[in-house]
Amino acid sequence: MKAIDIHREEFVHCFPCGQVGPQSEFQDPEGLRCPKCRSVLRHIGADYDRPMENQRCRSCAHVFASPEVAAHCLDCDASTLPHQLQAENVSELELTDSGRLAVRTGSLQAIYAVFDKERFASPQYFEQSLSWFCMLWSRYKTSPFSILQLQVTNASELSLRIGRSSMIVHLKEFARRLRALIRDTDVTARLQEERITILMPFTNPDQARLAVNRLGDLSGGTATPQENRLEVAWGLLSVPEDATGKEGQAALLARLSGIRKGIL
Amino acid sequence: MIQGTLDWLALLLQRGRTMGFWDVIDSLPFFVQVEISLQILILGGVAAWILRKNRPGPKAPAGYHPSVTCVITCYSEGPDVARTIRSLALQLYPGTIEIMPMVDGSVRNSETLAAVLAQQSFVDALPNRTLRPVSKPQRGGRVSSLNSGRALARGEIIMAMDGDTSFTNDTVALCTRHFADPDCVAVSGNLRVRNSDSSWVAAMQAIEYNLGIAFGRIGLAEWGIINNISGAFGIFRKSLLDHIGGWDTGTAEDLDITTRIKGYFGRHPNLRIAFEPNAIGFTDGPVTVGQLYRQRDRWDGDLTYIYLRKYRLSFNPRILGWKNFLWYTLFGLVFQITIPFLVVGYYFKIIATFPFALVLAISLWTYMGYLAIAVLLYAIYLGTVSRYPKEDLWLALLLPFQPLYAFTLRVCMTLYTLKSVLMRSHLDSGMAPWWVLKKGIH
Repeated sequence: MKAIDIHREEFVHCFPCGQVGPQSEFQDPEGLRCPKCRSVLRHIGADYDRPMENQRCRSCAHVFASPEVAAHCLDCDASTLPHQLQAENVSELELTDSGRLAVRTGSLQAIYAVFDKERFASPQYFEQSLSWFCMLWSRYKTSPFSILQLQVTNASELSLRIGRSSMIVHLKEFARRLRALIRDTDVTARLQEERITILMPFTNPDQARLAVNRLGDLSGGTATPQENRLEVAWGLLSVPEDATGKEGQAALLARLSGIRKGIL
Repeated sequence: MIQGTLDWLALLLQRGRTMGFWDVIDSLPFFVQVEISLQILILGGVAAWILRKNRPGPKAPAGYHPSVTCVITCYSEGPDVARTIRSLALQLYPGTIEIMPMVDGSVRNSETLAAVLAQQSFVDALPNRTLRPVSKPQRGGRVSSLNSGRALARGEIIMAMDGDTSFTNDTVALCTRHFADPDCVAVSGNLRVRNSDSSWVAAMQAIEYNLGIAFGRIGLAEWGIINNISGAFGIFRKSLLDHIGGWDTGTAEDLDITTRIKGYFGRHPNLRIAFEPNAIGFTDGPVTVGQLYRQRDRWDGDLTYIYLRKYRLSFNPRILGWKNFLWYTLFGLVFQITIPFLVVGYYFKIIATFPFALVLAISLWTYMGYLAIAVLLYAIYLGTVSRYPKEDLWLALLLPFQPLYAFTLRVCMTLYTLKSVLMRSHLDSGMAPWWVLKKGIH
């Protein structure tokens, strides 16, 4: 049985009679008193000294000089003696400039976080708005709308090819242009990590497609070589052309994620 | 003068030849007579031991293997302590042995501590053997180490030993079997000088140990009056140590604890201290005359201190029992303390009053008497007791010098006694720091 409830115990050596025992045996209301010869021990070095200190196990009262040290794995519960442990090199790493940039912009998965800064709505707000538009159409039939979804498909490859920082510049630029293109009344959100969804009120499919084309023109207008451009797949769903609006926002979004009309 | 000496010697011899054995004894100085009576006592014991040895004596019951804790007092032994630990770890003993080296003043003696710790993995690999090194950073002396060991020991039997003593591999088994008898409270181990080839001083001590410890204690143990349980190698029942409160502070803690154990013999005449001649601890004796002088200063001075100062009130047959009371009176007071003074006084007297040739003749005659005793005892020792007869036979070449060696030590004894009585030299010992010794009650 091994217990961890180990208590350090000081020993006292009585000079007048030579008795050695744990300090608790010498404890007396007046101070220290030798249990063997009854001498009062007042001055360390003159009346007594502390020959050694010991560890006492509080669960079995075993006394020993040096405690056994064991490494305990919290994962698999295995207990190992230090000298039996596998030696592993531990390195100290320092953050370089590119590391600092990664910290500022987040990891690869959070690369789209750049969009969040460009006046994007939160997913909850977007879903509420979409739900409200569905209900408006169902009830009054006066407000047609379209939902456009854009998805960057080559983010990983591009990031590897041109580097993270250039990738982020591309994405930032894309988000900025997107924002410039769409109207103030549109609601934009990032519902999933890599998908940008835009709710366009009072927009029929033709107008929406026009907007998509203009977005394509914008991305083509840069001096970036073709292979280094962002590839953006897009899907479009319009009410009342493609759906009745009675399905509810969740069904609409589910359908939309399955639609891929083309690549910008 | 030489002619005169030879004449006197012839006269003494002639007296012996014409007047029979008792007249020869009678012609020797009285202290030789006391010496002879002591040796006869020992011889009687040895004879009883030899007779008993050849009969099937009481044996320890099969499977009696009490747990043993070896408390090794270490100070500045350095790497030598590894030999002690290994000789204990490799004992041929099926029971458990806990080896507890107490490194006193481990801050100063870090070399010794390192040597002890280095043995950990060696001992860990052996079944039934544990090494529990104890580091005592502040020096407290031998007694503090022994009592610390007693406080921590888990064994039923405690063996107290020196850090520079190593042991034969049957030592533990031979010693523990005595404890199967519940009346046996302690066992005195045998000691042998390991470095007898390093100098003639060490070789003379080897003879002295063979006769005084190996042979002498066999005889004394048979009579139940063993003189001392050597500090370098003593074995105790832990319950007894706990009962008497362990070792007492001050010098000569071995003679002290022997005397205190004997203090129970008056009330409990069945108790006994055994001697195990075959359990041998090998120890280094002093190599130079100066070292020997200082060692005996400590031993003999402490003997005077223990007998005359500390346990004066124990000289009582009701405490010690009659046997040990007589022994202490004869051996302790008369033989060890008084006779040296009488010897020195006797020589002063004969030098002052007798012709020098007669003094020389008496000396030669006495010398031959002592030599005869030594040769006889040594021959019996070689024939019956010795476990190393070949080595001991070589040592016998030095026997002619043994009476001179013994006489010199006896003269020194008077100095030690005076020093102890007049200068309280027991307060100044290498065995414990002065700040501990001066607090001793006596």
